[in-house]
Amino acid sequence: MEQKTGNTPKAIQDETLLIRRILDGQTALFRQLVGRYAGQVLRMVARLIPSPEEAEETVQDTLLEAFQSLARFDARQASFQTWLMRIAYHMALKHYRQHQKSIPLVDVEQNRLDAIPDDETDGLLNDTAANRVALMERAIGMLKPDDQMLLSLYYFDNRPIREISCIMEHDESYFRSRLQWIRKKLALIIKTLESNEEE
Amino acid sequence: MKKNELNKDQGLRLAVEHKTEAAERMTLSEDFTDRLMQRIEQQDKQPQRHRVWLYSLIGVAASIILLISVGIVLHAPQSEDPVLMVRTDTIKATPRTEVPKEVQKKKEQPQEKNTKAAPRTPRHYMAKAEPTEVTPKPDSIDATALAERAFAEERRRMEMEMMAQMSGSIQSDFKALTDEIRSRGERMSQHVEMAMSNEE
Repeated sequence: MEQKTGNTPKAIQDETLLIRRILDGQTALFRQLVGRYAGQVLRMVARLIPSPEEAEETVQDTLLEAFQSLARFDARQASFQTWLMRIAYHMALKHYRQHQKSIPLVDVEQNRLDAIPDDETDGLLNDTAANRVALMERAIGMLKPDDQMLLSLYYFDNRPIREISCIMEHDESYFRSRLQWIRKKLALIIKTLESNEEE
Repeated sequence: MKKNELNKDQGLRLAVEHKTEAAERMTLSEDFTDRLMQRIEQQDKQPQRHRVWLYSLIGVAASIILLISVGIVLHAPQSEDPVLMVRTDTIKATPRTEVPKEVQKKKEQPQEKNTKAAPRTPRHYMAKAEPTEVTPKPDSIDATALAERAFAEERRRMEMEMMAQMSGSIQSDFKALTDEIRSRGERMSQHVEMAMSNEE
């Protein structure tokens, strides 16, 4: 079902032309965009919505919203894919907040985070030992959904900060400092979990 | 985070990969696109329905407002009208020769408005009440004036006719009078001639 997407200037030009034709009334052509991007949207949404049915419903809502606000898409600001991911992210976050279950989020004081040296944080997060990675997975689950999304966009999708700031609608500088803050927080949670296990 | 730091956090990178594994394996159902396109088509039709509803709603609201305003105008309280009628009477029915009075009255009105804090009659009452209550007055004034004018004209015409009828007898009387005067004059001249001849 999924088609290949290209980021070449010609592909972008073709896509812009396709969007213009859809806006001119050839609604059926939207099917092509759905074929290209629905899978990516699903993978993005499913990071916050584990239920396959609910995730698929959110993808439907995302693409419907994209169709309705297609006239507002500006190719000079971001690619269609980034624009679509932004809608998907907000839809997923909205769904997550509406169906929020009791997730043990951890609130930590800033002074405790500052107390952890940078070297220690780097060492903990660079460790690929299976038990450490398992602890990290647990620790990630304790983060806020938008922080989890930031990690997946940065570490898994390898998206540049500029693109992430476009999707999550914040300044680049905010995400740079936010990533450092999340790393420290993860390090603190891992240390706490390890000390709990030892006890 | 700098570019060279991408090589760091290998453990975290693995953990994130594991976390997103389930999401990566997810696939959409076969009829996903068809369902979506159906929804899009339905959404395309919905605005038209919305528009029809909106227009009909506006139409109904407008007709209700019109009916209410007509009702207000027709059943406007009479107690408010006399003041209005007095004002309009003074303005409309006073003769043009009494202009100073009118000016005085007009000048007094704004003073009343300024001094009195009491609620005034709404403007639409003024506007609507004028044609219903005041317009007959000028009509009746015009009718009497016209009637008077007609009466005067009729009287003048009758006088003229009477004069015309009388003019025949006047002419005959005048002729008799002139004849008598002429005969008297002749007689007097004869007497004068006789007296002059006697003296001679």
